[in-house]
Amino acid sequence: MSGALQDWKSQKKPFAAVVTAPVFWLALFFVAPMAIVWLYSFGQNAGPADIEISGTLDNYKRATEWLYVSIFLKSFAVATLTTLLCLIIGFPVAMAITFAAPKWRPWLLLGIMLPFWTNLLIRTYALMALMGTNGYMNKGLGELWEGASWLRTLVGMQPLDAWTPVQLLYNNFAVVLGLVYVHLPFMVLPLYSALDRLDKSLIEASLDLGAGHFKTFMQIVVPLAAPGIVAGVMITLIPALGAYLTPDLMGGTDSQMIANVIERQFKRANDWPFGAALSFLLIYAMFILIAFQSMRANKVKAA
Amino acid sequence: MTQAKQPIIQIRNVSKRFGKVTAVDNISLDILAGEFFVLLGPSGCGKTTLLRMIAGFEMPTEGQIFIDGQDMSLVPPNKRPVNMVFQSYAVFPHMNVTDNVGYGLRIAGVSKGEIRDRVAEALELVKLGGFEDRMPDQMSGGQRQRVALARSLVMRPKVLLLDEPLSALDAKLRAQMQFELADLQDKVGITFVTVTHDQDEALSMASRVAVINKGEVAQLAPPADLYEYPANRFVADFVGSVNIFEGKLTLDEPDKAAVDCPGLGKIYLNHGVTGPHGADVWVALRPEKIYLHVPGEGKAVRAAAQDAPDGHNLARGTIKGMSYLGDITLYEIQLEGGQMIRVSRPNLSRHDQEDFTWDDKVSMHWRADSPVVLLS
Amino acid sequence: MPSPMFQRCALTLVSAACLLLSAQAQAKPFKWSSASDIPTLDIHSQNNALGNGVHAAIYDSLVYYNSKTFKVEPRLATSWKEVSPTQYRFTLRADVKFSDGSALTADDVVFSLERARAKTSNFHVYTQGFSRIAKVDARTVDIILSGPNPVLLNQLTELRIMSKAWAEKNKSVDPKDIKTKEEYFAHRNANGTGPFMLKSWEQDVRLTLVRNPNWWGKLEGNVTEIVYSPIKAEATRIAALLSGEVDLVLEYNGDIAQAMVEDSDIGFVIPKEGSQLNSDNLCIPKGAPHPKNAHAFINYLLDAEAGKKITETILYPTPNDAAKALMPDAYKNNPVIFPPADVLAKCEYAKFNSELQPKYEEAFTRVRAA
Repeated sequence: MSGALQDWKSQKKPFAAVVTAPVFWLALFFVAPMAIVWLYSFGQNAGPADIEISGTLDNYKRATEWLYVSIFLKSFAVATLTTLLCLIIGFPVAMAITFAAPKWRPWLLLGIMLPFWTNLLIRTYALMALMGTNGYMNKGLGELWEGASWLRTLVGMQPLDAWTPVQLLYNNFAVVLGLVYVHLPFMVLPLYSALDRLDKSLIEASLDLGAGHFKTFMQIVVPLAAPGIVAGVMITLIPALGAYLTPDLMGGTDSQMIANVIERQFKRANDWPFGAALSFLLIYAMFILIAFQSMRANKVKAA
Repeated sequence: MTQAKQPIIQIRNVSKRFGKVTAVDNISLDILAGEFFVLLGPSGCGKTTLLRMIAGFEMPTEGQIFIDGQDMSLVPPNKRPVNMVFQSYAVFPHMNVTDNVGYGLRIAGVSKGEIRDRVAEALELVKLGGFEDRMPDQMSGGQRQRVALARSLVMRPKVLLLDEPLSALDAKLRAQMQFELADLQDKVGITFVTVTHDQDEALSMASRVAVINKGEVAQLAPPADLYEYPANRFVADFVGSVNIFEGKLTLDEPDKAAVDCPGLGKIYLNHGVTGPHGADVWVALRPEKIYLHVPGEGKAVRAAAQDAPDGHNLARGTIKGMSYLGDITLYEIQLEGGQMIRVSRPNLSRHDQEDFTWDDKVSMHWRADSPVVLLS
Repeated sequence: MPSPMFQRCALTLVSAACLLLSAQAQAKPFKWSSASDIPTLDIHSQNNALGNGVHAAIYDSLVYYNSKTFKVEPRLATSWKEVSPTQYRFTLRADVKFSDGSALTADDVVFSLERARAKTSNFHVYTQGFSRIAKVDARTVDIILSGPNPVLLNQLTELRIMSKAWAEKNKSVDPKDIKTKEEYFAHRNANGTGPFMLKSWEQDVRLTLVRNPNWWGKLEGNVTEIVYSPIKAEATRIAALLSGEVDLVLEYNGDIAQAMVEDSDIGFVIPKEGSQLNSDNLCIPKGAPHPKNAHAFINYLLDAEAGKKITETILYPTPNDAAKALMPDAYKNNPVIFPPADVLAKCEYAKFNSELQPKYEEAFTRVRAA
């Protein structure tokens, strides 16, 4: 680290040459638009197409009303649940890939990354086609049900009632399932990279010292995979918190998340200042999350 | 020690195959209680696989392993009365020294007070007193190895398994640790089973050595026997440095034997070899057991080779290479027949290395008990 | 800047909210869908058009609109007369039973109309001008007004009658307070005298009604079961319609005309009351860098042949007469695409109100967050 620092301090010109383009890019396409939206959040509509930046805090005042705070909290709860499920599902997957035979590993990783080759919208619609009341899941369940009914008649029992499709879509369950589906690779990949770096002999050493598989997992694997877990949680939680498409397409009437509310401010309500304020509250919340994480990382480094 | 020792580990017809590769091929051997047993062999010979089967990390494809009389076939690693020191030490990086060493005791549910005492005792044993709160990344390789040792010893296993324990240490430290390990084993009285590819390590520490080649035991013997009486060309060549010549057995009686080596000359031994007459055999001759002379000293040479009939155990050649190693000088000599032979000579005085130089014509002789006749 | 200033409108496409009905004659569940679910089953808790429609299937009012003539006709009240300009007397239908089997009495009517006037009711708009409701005998009820009221009967169409005994037994005497989240029996359950009975309701998922075998009236049609599932996204609703997942959606006519090409078993209806008009516009923003290109593009779109091709695909009513002239009669005479003038006359454009729109969205957010 100090070597690298030394390098750019002593060789300012080449460093400047390398860094100018990205800095310019960031300034032009990230900092500037964000700054404009930030300014909007202190403004008010002065006509259908004009925003007067008056320095008012009304937008923030309105954004912190219980109605919106409750939606923030709900979004956070949905994102947290999604992240938790991703962690619970992703950890065994990452472990399985880590311990798979080396010739299988690239294929398994490819399998994890394959969904990225398809547009999110298409994946979501595919999932909806699976989960609809006339979808494949319900059809499959229906077949099983009919099969069970037929088996009952075989042993002389009354057949079951006709199969009623299960409502899988358009509710909060569907939203969480959709979000887990979309975000699982983001969890698996950092977990895999953390577990892959883990010296397998540490696991054997723990077994050798009398610990069972569960204790070994809790005392050795989890603590040593902690950086991967934290990274996975962050890159799952943050996009899930801002999820917009999945609750919109797969959710029910009560499944709105904060991103949906923000979208409506910019589009249907034509209230950009208020939408900007909501957006920035969301960004601040994410900053706080990231700050917590880096504080934790610093603490670990210092220890 | 005269007392009859019980085998603590019995390996019975154990084989291990990974797909088509046979790592361990029908090995049977006993390891006695209190022994410092070394599994020696080149990398890939199956010695580590055998050790891991004892620890329980691999299951034998065939055969059984008994520890203290108990069949281990269905016993998982965490239930076996053995502990292992890993080649990478496998010290838990997120725990300090005390927590690392106390890990197994905590898992076993030993009381806090007892853990404290036993950890302190174990750290004292491996000379790590005062390092209790260190994290592994603040320690040297040698110190981490001591932590791994203490962590295993604190469990008071019946057998301590060590996988290449010294391979990651620098030469000086390795030499020191060889002594310390032997000393430690003596102190705790636990059976040590060590895997190594380094013959020096094996010879200096072991009470017995099993040389493993291609999944089979090439020879099982105490270190000195291994060196002085190798059972075959593999062992002769693997343990120490050696010159090997092909020949035919021309004489084989209980108290003498002779081999005719086209490359080296006539070899005479003052003991029998019990091989079939006229058989193709190999003669192994260690470089340090060959005496080097200036060619004019014919008388002295003959006198020195008195224990053999005339014309036996003698050779002539030209020095083609020399390496001065401080304690000895190593010569590469081209024999009259064209083959090369290695000879080492102790530098008994400061100027001994000046006695011979490149392209010098030299004579060699050896004693009748020096050559070893190998049948395979 | 949001919404560019409109300079010019080039294309106008008429579309209207529509209803689709399955044309199949055999009795089967009737499944339909729109964007949101009913807010409650409590008939006095929330005045919501969708909810009222569903309530009307389960609960009867004293009088209701005839489904063909749209005139007020007797329901639970068989006749009524004006005792004085501020006193009306209603005679109740005999032998009416609630779906739980109990008989309808004047007490139930008095109770229900009073319930609509309760503090937590949202039906005060329909009880405006009511002074008092009085039971005369077991089959007669008087409504005493604070002044003459020419729309009393229209008001009564939205005031449905529930059983007093049932409400008292189930602690649902007052309408459910929409501001509280607590569970409420009349919010989740129903016991009416109407043509349908509640089979099940899973909020935001599915509402199932079945025919009430004991209904006093005679039900036209063959619908034995009504299943309603709210689906939010419109593309999804159309897809659900085509896949048979739902039987009824609320959509624009062109989209339905397209769907009808794929599935002839779909119909399109504009409500008698009229509906909303919408048109797509091509606009050139103020200061656009290449107005000539924009004009060229608009001219291209207005070209008869190009317009014909577009129209063939989107099946919306084209405003381009030249293009329309090139279209086949099947298009020109399609009542789905070109609704009759008298129907269109009842439809109107929605207007964007920059003051109200954020408030509307906030209300919408509030509803969805509830």
